[in-house]
Amino acid sequence: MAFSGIPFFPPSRAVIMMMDDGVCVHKVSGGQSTYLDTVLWRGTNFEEALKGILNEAKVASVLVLNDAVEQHYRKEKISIPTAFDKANIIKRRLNVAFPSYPMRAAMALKDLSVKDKSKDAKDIDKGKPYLFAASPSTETFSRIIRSVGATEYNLFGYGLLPIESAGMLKVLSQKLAQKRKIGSKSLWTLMVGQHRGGGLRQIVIRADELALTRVTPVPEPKEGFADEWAAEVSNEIRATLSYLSRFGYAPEDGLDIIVLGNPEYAEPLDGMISVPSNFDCISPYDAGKLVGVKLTRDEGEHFSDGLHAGWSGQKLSLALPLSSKEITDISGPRKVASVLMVLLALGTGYGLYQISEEAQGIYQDGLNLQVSQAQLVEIERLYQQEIERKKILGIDVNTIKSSLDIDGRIQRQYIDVLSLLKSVSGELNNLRIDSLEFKNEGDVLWTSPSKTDMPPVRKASLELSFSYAGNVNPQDGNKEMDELVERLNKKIVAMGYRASVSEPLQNLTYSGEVAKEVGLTANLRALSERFTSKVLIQKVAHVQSSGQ
Amino acid sequence: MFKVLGNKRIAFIAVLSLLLGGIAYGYYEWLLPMHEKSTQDLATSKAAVDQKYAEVVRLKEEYVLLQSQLRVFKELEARGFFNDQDRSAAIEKLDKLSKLSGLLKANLKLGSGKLISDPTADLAGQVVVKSPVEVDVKSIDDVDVYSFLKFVEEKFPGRVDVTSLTLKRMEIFDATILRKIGGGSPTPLVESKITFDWLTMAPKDVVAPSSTFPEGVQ
Repeated sequence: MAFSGIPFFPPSRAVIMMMDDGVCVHKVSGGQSTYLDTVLWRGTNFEEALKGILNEAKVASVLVLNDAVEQHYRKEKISIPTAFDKANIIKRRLNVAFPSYPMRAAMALKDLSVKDKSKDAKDIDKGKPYLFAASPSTETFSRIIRSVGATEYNLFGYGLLPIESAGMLKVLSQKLAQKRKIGSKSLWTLMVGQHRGGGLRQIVIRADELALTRVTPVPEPKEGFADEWAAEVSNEIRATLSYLSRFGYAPEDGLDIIVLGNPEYAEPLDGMISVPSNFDCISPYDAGKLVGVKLTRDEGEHFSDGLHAGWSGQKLSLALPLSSKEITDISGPRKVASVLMVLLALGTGYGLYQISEEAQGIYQDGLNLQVSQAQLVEIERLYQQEIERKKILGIDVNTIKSSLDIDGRIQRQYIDVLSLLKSVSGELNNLRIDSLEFKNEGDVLWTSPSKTDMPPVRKASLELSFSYAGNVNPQDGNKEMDELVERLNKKIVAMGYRASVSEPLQNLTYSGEVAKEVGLTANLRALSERFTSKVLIQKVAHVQSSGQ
Repeated sequence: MFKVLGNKRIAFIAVLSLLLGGIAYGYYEWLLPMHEKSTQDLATSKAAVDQKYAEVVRLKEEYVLLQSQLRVFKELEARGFFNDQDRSAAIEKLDKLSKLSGLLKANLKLGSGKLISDPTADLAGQVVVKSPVEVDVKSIDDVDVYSFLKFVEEKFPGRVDVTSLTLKRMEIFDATILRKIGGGSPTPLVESKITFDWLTMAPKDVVAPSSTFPEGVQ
């Protein structure tokens, strides 16, 4: 079953060739062109018959090719100042050229005359050549459109057969030239082929652009009367060639003549054409093989309409699509629907992709959860093992940690008074302490706000008192005290202490008050008096050796 | 319009629209919350694994650490750091130490102890007990005082923090003292006053079962 009108399935196309006495329907699918049927205008129920043929064709879209006599062409040169004006100018010129034909279009041509022109001529004529084409909107065309509208198919487009097949001529001409093992240097190519219904279609291209086309009624060849058919065709070719000179043909440009048809009928033509040319006679079947169109041997024996249908039916876009309200009324909504279907399909695809991603994520999470739970069980087992091990050891972890921490903090702030006294005693020499007073303030169990904080230095001091006899020279005694302090500082600074004389024997500086008795009795009295001096040792820093 | 489009197109668009709607509904209402929940469950499970793993690592580290700290802890335990500061035992101990150091006289005074709250101790269900101790000493030589202090620091249970120490040699040229010395009676020549804080740790449920600290708690 074909999915007509749905744009996701293999592109198969029905090609309706609109002729003067009816339409000929071909189906093009996978490069294969198959003739389906012919419906005549004068037949009853034309629209129903055509609709029936199309519905049976099971295709995705329909292409209408105009192969009738009434096609209008005109070459014009248009000067377009800016790209923005191009569409408007062409539209206006088309209106002027074909005012009574609603279906019209234009295509730019290569300016083959440029290389022949001098610089001055180019400056004067700056226009670019355009091919204008038009087709009348007839009742017969409306009947075709109504038939297509009655089907589910997309209307791919409406084109003129000679324009759409011009490219095929070029390809065919080159292939045949290759076959002849000479490069095709001919500028002009004439292709002649008979279509079903009797029309002899002649298409002439210059380079790869349409130059001239004719369709004339010629009877179908009959077996045993090949010469008659050839003679008629020869006359038509001669007539065409006579027109050709009006289009700028010169014998030195070179001419390829390709006759599509049964070689039995067509070969006699070779001797009938007197114009210098490269003559080739080839069956449509063989021509199709050269241009990539598959025809059955029976269908491709003589009639060439299948070849044209196959060529245009495979196109992704027409060379010169004609448009009208009738066409857009059908193709517009169907194209919009196609775009919508594509978007919906893309959306659905994206949605399915997201769903698959999420589902995969859920599945993966499930797997990971299982692994995680297995890990948890294993770690729980290890945890219990560790707990058991500690229980067996018989220790309370927290008690050990906290007691060691607290003891460590106490030790860190501890002031070792005996070590200080020992250091002092080592530096006394012949001095003797009369009394001492040690004070230690501050909390020994200091709690740090953070582990990196240094504890404060405790306010500790040791005051030593020394007694001297009254007859000692105070200057000597002071000096002795100073020397003691100097010795002490050398020893205790590393312990974080600093010593100083807090009270000298006698203040002999300007600030001191001195009272002294002199005379003979004074010395005796001095023996019974005593001087007192004091040295103060203060804690100023943490013990250096421990880094505090 | 519907005639132009044809039944198949309309049906196809309708089916696709319904499918897309169904997909969107299923995705946002069912699949996405389910995925979020599964992701959350997985994250919770992983967090539990990480947490438990960290606990295991901590226990292992603690075990290794404890092996090395155990000796220090035992020493601390042996020197009586875990002590509820029984007064009679303390007096007895100080008495022994004073005799050992050869003091002539030592007046002991133990002040009321305080329970010190400490976060580290709390973890182990312990409190730090701190008691002020004053010792008035009289001895023949200052060395005896130093010896006593050394014995207290080394042999008294727990930790001792000396807060003050005064030492004074007595005047030996006093006639009364000289007579005493001459008479052969033990005469103190040095007076000293030692003040120290006695610090130990004790189980909280033993020393403060009501878990409300008495006055002086820090």
